[in-house]
Amino acid sequence: MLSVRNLHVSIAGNKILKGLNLEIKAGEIHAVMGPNGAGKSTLAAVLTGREEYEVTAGEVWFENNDLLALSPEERAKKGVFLSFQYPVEIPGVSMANFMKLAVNEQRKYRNLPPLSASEFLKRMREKAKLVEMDSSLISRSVNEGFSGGEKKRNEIFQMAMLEPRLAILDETDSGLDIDALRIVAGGVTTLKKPDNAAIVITHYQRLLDYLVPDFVHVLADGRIVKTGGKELAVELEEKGYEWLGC
Amino acid sequence: MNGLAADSSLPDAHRLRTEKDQPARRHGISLETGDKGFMLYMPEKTEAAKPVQIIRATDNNACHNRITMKAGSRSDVLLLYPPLDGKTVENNDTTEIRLEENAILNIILLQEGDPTAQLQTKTVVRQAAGSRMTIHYAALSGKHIRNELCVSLDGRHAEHQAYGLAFTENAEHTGNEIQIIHASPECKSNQLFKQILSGASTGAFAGKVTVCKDAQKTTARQRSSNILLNLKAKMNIQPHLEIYADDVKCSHGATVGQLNDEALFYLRTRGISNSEAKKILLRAFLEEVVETIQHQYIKDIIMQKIMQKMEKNH
Repeated sequence: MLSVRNLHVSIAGNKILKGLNLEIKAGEIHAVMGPNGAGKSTLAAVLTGREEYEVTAGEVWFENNDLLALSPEERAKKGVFLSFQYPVEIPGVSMANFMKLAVNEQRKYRNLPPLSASEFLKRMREKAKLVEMDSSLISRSVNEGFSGGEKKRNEIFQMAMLEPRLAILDETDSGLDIDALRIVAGGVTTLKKPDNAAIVITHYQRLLDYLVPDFVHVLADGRIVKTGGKELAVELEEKGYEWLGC
Repeated sequence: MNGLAADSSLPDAHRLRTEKDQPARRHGISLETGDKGFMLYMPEKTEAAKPVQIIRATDNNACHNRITMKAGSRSDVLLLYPPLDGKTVENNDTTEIRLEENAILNIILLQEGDPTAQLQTKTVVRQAAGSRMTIHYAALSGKHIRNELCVSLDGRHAEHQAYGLAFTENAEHTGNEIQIIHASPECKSNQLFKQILSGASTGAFAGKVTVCKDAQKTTARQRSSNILLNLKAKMNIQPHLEIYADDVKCSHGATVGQLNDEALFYLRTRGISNSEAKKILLRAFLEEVVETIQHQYIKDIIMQKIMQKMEKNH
């Protein structure tokens, strides 16, 4: 599904990713762990098309598409989704209107008719329930005045609404209490299907108690230095990152 | 309004001035005056069932208008400046407004001139105790629009809200100069002005709040936020607070910036196109002002016009 080959990325002249390789198949959950500054968030940003990052070498293929040649919105329409580490507050834009537009843009792209108002509402309620999100948030402006936990739930809610093929969760666990963590992880697990995949970027092993990955990668100094199964996460929690030379 | 002009029981100062009726200018403050204008007189404790709509459909002159709200009266007024088929319009209007105790006035100026139109307004307001006034300036089109507002809060608990929104394109200019004087204690005022500037258009906002020595417990807020869509566009802002009392809450904020890149990226990662996302954000930016208007059909007129300009300029 996703193939990252020898990816080199700089921002403002600083080299962040230095030859990263990653292969992801449908139905898999990959955890990407690593110390601060290793390049985890850069990976998420480059995969979703943030413009200030400069790709100096390498390529990324997503289901036979040259991902790096696509705009952020084209990537989204092809099924790439980012759960933001810091979801953006957008005053004056209601969640309902925002989601309606986003869902219907994607449906248009897939040659499906737009959802009727009642179908749409029904879907919003269903998905809000899935992440135990207060449905009153739907009538508010996007993330405006939401608590940290509400913002993260809102990300997973949007993921549920958009049903992406590849979800990238950038430190979705940071700033969450255990209950919220359980709900967010539960949402992700429920949404997992044989034909989709997820990259879970995290600093701590905590989230992985609730969300079982198929693979764990350690990202350090711009490269993946170790790959293992879910037991690697436990080992990292016990020993830290130093034993890997990071 | 002819009825009011003919009503001889009204005091002179409140009669509609016609060209023959020049000596009737006996009222207080002296202002630049013209020979034409409208007068609105709301007797005590009366309420206008519907908004009073006044269409300014003449060119090249100065109107001198007057609105008198007697104690406890209430009215909504719509002042429309429609396009006049491309005629060269240079208007310079003065409106004197007086609100007596507990009167309520909501006034909206919808300025939708031809591309050559030059519209100037000057509004002078005096508010007695407990009166509340809201004014909206919607500068939708015109070569040069300049609004001046001077408010004196003369009695306790008087409140004034002044709002402005504009979307300027090409070489258009919109300027607002607001002065609010807190002359009495426990009054509130609020100014919120927002402008989007595209092309080589320009804008100006000068807002001044004066809190007099005796005007304790004043609450005064002032904010001007502006978005430049083009490097050639230019905005000048001058916030000004003059405070002589010591127990007051006053705030002011002024920003000139570009569209929020983070918000734009967020929308795009959800599959919304760059141009659509920009429109959403610009619309949301002005929404904060538009939503303070109570009449849905006015909101619709404003948003429709703004969206047309946005299509051309985002």
